[in-house]
Amino acid sequence: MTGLRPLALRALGLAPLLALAGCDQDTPALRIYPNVEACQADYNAEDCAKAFAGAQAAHATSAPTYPALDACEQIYGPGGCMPRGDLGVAPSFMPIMTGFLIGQALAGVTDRAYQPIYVDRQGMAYAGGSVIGTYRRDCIGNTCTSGTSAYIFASGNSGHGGFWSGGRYTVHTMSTHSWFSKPFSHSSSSFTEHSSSVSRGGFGSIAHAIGRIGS
Amino acid sequence: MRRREIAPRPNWAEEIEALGFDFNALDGIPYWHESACYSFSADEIDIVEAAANELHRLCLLAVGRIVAERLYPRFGLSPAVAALIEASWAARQPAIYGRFDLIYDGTGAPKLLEYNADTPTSLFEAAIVQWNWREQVFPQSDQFNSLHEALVERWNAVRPQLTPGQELLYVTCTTPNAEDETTVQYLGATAIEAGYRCKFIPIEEVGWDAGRRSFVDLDGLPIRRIFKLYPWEWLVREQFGANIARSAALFLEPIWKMLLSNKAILPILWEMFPGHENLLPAYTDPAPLGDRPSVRKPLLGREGANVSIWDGRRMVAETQGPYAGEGYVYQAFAEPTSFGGVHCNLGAWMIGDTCHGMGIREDDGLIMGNASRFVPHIFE
Repeated sequence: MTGLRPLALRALGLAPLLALAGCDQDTPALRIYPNVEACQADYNAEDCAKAFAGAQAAHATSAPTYPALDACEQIYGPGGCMPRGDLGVAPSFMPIMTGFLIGQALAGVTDRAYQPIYVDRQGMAYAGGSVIGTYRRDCIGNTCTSGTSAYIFASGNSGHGGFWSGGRYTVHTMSTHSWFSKPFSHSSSSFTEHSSSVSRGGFGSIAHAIGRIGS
Repeated sequence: MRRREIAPRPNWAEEIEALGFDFNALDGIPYWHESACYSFSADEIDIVEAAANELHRLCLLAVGRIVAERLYPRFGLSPAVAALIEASWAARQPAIYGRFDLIYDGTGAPKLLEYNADTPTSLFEAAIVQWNWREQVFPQSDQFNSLHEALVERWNAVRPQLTPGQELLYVTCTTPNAEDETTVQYLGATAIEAGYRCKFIPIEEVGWDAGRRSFVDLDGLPIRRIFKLYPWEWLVREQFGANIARSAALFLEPIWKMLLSNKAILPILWEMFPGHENLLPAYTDPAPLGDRPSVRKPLLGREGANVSIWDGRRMVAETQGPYAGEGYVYQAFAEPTSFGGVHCNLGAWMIGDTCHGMGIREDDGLIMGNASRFVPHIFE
C-alpha cells in the first residue's frame, strides 16, 4: 500500500479551480446581454457598443460551423441556426448568437474582453469554445431588468466557469467588476487559424441516442 | 471485511457539494451513501492490491496475444479498427487509468468481474469525496487511496509521450452530463497540477478540418492530444470515426484499451490462464458452464445493462438496456458479497500499471448499475 499524504487540492476538491477562475461562489450568476440596450443597464453606451461589436465580429469569423442545417440544429435546436455567409465555397450553417458576455483576459494569455454566447438545445451556454454554464432566461431575485438580460449559472453546478474556460479568459459576476475600469483590450483575436474546411458534429451521436456514458 | 452502519455527517450533502460533487441523486436516488462504510484489515487491502496488479499484468499479456494472433473477430472489430489498435499497441501509447470490478468478501482470492479499461467513472468519488469523508469521520484510520498523487505522477510520467512543447491537452466528454463532466474535470485538474495546460471541449463540438487533416477546437486550433471519456466503440462508428486514422492526434485512453474493455477479453483470459485464482471461468458460448449458475454479459455492455443471471437453464435476474446487438460472453456466477441483503463490488483503480486505490459500490439487487450506491471504506 502506498502511504497517504494530505494534499491541498485533495482536501478541497474542485473548489480551488473555481476560485482561481474568479467565480464568486456567493454570486454564481453571470449576466449576459442580448443587445447593447440591455448592456447599458450596467455599463456606459460606448463600452457596450464596443463589446457588442467585438462579440459580433468574433461570431462572424469564428462561430462553430456545420456542413448542414440538420447537423447544426441537432446541437442548437430547431431555429437555433442560420446560414453562414462568409465562406463562399460550400453551404454551411452556424448557431445564432444568443448574447454576449464581457470578460477579462487572464495574464499571459490571449486577451479577450468579449465573447459571443451560444446556447445549445439543452440549455448549455458556450463561449470561446468552452461550456461556461447553464443558461436560463429567468430573472434572479430582484436583479432582473425587464426581461432584457439573461444569466448563466457558471459555478453552481459543475464549476463550468472555471476549468472549462481553459485558462484563456475569466468571467466576472456583476458584483466584482472593478476590473472594468481598465480599458478594453483590442488585441487581435486568436482566430487566425480559422479554416473554411472545418466540419463539426461528427462525434457524440451514439451517446445522445443512448443517453449515458460512464462505466 | 465488514459493513458498518454509521451515522452520516449531519451536513454531508453540503460537504460533498462543496467538493464539486453535484450528481449525488441520480433520478432521485442518493448515489453517495455514508450511512454505512466498509472496514478492512491491512492484509485484506494488500490482497486486493496484489490481485489488481496481477490482473493488469495478465491483461497486458492477453493484449499481446490478441494482436499477435489477430483475434479481432472475437471482439467484433473491423480490419480498419484492428489496424489502429495494432499501431497504438506497437507504439505503446500511454494509458492513464482503469478500474477492475472485483468480487471479494475478505476470504479467498478476489475474482475479476470485468475491466473498465476505457471509460471508467466514479474516479472523483473514490479519489476525493471518500478521502474527504475519511479525514472528517475516521481521521485515525487509513484508506486505500493514493489516487490523486498517483494521477499527478502519471501525467508527469507520460509527458515525454504527450507534450512536446507547450501544447494543450484537450479533455472531452458528452454534455450535458454531470457525472462524466466531473470525471474529466477532475482528470484535467490532476493534469494541470502536473503542469499541463488543459482545455475542455464538448465532444459534440470537436471539429474536423479536412484541409489540415486535423481535429480542431472551436477556435480552429488543432487538437493534437485529447483525453476522451467516450467509448472507443462509439468513436470509431460515428461520422468522424474514419478521421481518427487520418489525424495525428494522440487519444487517451489509447485505442488498444478497446481490447480490455470488451467482455470478449474474459474468455481469452480464462483460455490463457485457466484456473487462475483471480479469474472466473468464462466462455464464448454457454455449453461449457453446463448447469452451473452463470452470467451472460454483452460484449460492449455498459453500466450493468443487458446483463442476465442464469441458474442452470432458468434466468433469475436480468437488466434491460440498449446493448443487446453485439454478442455475449458467459461467465461463471460468483456469489456476491452480501451484508444483510446488500450486495457489493470492489472497484480497484489502476493508475498507469499500478493499483492505487479502491471504491466500493453496493446495490440491493444482484447486478450493479449506474444507480448503485458508492460507499466509502477504511482500513486499520
